[in-house]
Amino acid sequence: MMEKVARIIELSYLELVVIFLILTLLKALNTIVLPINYLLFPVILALLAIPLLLRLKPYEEKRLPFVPIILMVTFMFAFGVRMLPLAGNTIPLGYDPGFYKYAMELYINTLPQIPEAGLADWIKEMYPQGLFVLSDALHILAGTDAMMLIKYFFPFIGALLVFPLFVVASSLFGQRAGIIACVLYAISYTQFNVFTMLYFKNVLGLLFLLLGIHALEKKKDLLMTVMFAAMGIFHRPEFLLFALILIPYFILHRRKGMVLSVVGTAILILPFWIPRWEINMAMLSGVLNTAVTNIQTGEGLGGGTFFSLDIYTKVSLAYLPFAIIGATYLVIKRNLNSILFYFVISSIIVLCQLFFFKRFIILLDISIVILAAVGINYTLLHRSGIWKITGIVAGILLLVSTALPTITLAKDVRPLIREDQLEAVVWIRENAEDNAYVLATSNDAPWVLGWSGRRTIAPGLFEWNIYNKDEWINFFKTKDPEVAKEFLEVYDGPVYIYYSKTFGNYLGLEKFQGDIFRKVYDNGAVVYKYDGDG
Amino acid sequence: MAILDGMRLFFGGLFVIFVPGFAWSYIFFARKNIDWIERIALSFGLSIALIPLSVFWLNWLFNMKINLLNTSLTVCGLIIIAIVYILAKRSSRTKYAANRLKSIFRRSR
Repeated sequence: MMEKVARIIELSYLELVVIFLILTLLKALNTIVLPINYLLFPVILALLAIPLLLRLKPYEEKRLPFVPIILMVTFMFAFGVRMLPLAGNTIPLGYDPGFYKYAMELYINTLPQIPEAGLADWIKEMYPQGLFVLSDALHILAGTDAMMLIKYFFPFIGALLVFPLFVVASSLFGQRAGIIACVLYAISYTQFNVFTMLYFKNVLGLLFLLLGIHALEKKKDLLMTVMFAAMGIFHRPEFLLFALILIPYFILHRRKGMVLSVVGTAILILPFWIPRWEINMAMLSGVLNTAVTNIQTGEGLGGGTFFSLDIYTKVSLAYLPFAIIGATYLVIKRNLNSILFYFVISSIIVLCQLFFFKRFIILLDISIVILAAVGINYTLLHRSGIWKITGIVAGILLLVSTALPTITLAKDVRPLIREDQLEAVVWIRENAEDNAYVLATSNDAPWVLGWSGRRTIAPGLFEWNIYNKDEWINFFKTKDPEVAKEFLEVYDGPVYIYYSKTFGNYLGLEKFQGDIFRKVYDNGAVVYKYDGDG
Repeated sequence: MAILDGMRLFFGGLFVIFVPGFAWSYIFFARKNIDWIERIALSFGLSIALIPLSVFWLNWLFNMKINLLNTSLTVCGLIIIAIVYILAKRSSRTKYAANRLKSIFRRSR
């Protein structure tokens, strides 16, 4: 009797998977959007999959043919889709290119030394040293500059992640799961968004996180030490996440090598952290305080800049149920490995909105991709007959509905600044005095900082800003040139005012009319000059 | 000139972000233990991790100037460390195998 019930539920699961994926595809195509909560499907599908998972027998997976070819094609696709927005466009995507360009050039210009002591606090807070020392080495030996790294090295590393992802997923769950995980990564809207926002450190952090997990599972403690330390010097959120993964893993396995590895990591990152000890500790206590405040008040402060969980559930809807099934499978089989801990910890951070929770969606997505691959493989693809055919159909539906928004985004995404607007910044670099300042809105500031080669004054950004929020609001609101003059005359040199004529960008140009300010450039962006006392 | 720049970019890039990690991957996994996919992933990951770690450490400890000579020597040093380790491991394995053969031979006599 129980057997019969289980078989009926299994068949219902199969049918519901197909219905769900067709509905998801129609939703992605904007053809039919039913007035139902689509998030019910992952829960129902996971429940229906339980009898199947309970009856699942361990099996030996054969080595698949053409794995290298499939991986290379996946890599090429991931790289191609990342290069697509750069075709016919010289400006990198996202808000961050200016920050990265400025910081990389600062490091390169300070060679043969590392400019640690002279760095502004915002650089120390935002950018650990790893990426910039690497950019120094690449500049010296390969002749690269900041723009080459931003435009080509970054998409290359983003696409390269398919290899460590395959390594981790295939060594834990078999080659087929590895391949599925890679394909899901390559078409993931979330991971493509990481690229469009130029989260350079994030992508490198993910590379080390995946290899760190691989080393942990393979008990390669020295390799784990190197990867853990790399996370610490490239991107701290991955470092924190890996540290949190190690706690339950150690309680479960109690390997002495893990302790030695943590000690080794602490030693390796020491010279990087000592000069920034106060800043790092302040950030850590800030993270803890934010977490406590968010738990107490539910305000969801300090989420970081990325899309919300709401959007994430929409763009990952097609593979979300399979991730829950994958996680359920691991729990049922008591396979408490590091991927499960990774998934649970990052889910808690994101769902409970503890700290930096929007940015942790990027990390969560990687664990979801791996677990979804496990769910798809074990519940749909490893059986024969109708299951396999349905599995393949479901796989195609899933791929199309996930890839569609990603390819649309790749086709439509544009830089945040136009060529003619950036030319105005370059004009400042070529024409402004060396001791000049450039004032810009926070929208324009990163571009001005990265491309003008001048000290940039912007609200809430950089070391040259001496005003608080209210003073900036007053400056934006005023139409009186005298008030604007008072605001700028504290700076010991000429001040250029840069304003890109972009929708949503506001500076209040009326105050710059008159004799005090001179319009010196007007094409796509407008530049005024205030000569100062001289 | 453009060809030279291109070659410098390609080979210099490989020298920094692939070769040291490739050599080090043999410290962690012997030739037959992993396939080339894993080797590639490890080579990039290890190189990108090891180069900033070693350059920064040497600069911090010995105030090493980060110039062409020192950076090249650092990368070469990393590669040499890996090669020496692998050779030492191999020779100790060879010695062990030779001793085993000797003892089997003695027993058979």
